[in-house]
Amino acid sequence: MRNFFLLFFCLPFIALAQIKGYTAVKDVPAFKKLFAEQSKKVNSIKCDFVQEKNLSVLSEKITSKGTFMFKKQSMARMEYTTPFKYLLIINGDKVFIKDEQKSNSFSSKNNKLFESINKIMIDIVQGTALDNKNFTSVVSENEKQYLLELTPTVKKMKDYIKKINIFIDKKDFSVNKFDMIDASGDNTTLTFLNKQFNTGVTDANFAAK
Amino acid sequence: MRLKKQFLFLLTILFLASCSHKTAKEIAVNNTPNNCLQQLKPQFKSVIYNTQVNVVGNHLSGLLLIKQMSADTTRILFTSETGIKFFDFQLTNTDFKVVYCIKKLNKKIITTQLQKIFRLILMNYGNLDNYTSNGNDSLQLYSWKNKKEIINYSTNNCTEVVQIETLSNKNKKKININLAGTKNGMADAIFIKYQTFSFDITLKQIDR
Repeated sequence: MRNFFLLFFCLPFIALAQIKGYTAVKDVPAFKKLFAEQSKKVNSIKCDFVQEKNLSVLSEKITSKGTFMFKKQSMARMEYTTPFKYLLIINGDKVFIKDEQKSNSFSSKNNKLFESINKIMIDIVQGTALDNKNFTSVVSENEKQYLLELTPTVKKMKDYIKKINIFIDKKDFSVNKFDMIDASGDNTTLTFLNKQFNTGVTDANFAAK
Repeated sequence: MRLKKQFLFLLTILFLASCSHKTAKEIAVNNTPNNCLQQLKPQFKSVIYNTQVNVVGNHLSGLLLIKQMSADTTRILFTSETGIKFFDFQLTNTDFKVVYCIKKLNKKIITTQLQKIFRLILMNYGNLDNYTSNGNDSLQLYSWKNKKEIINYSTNNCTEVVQIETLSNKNKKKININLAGTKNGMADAIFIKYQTFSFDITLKQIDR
């Protein structure tokens, strides 16, 4: 569940083949079981995030910051506050976007990319993310974190995303970092900070306004 | 689906770009040589614009990075706020290369128009030495005419470019670009509007 929020944004993120310092988890079924059990304990998440868009060839990094909220079953709010303002709310199959000029809402049912994200979201909430047929997955670990490496199998997603890496804290199974590698090889990372669980998040936070 | 619809609109719109319907006043062009425009050519390393695009009722936003790679090479990259890259172009004095572009945008009719807009803003459209002055008032106009069109740069007493305009060779307005302020060697705010259909782009520099 905690991991869901990351996956939700997975839509645009991905990663490298073999991450240094991580070794394959030997008992993946046991990991999946534990992952699902821990997810059941979380009804909501509130945290800050730092996003870095790394443009390797250009030697440029675009950094932005904001707040992230998630509430079961399928509500997510991502609000960029620095250096620009941008709000993205997903509430079930409804998507609301507000930038510095306009706001817009639409149904994710009309957007296959968002539909895929919704499916990932639900899979994560249910602890079945590794069974999602839209991705092949590899699970590895180091001393402090698990690493889920997801590679899209659906062409629609492949056009945008090469791979998604999700770094999960072993202490509470929450997502620490989300790393998406796009089709051109550049990556975007989301680092989640000051995480609060099951407090301060209401349905009103996901209203389109 | 929505994105696809936007791109289809964009395609249609750009196809219509060559059509003009508004008549502009005749431009009197003197053959006064000048180096004003050369002096006002943007001098920058790297800038990022918060970007809003409106195309026939459809809206798109993101971040536009413009980076000077060398004396005559510029990279122009557009991503969504959440990090999805839409395009990455390389511009030189003589060439234009699509380094990366999502399939729905990677149509010649689109990339050609975007190239034109960026060349106009970067003052890399035609030889600046060929532009001639039209008067000595505070809002000096510099014009260049080729077989197909007229390009106008309006300057504020040759301290900054405040407006760029393209017209057909029959003096019908096509593209209007307003610029305000200077920051990091580039215009701080830029508003691009096509006069022949509903298509506009707003750019505002962000602090990094």
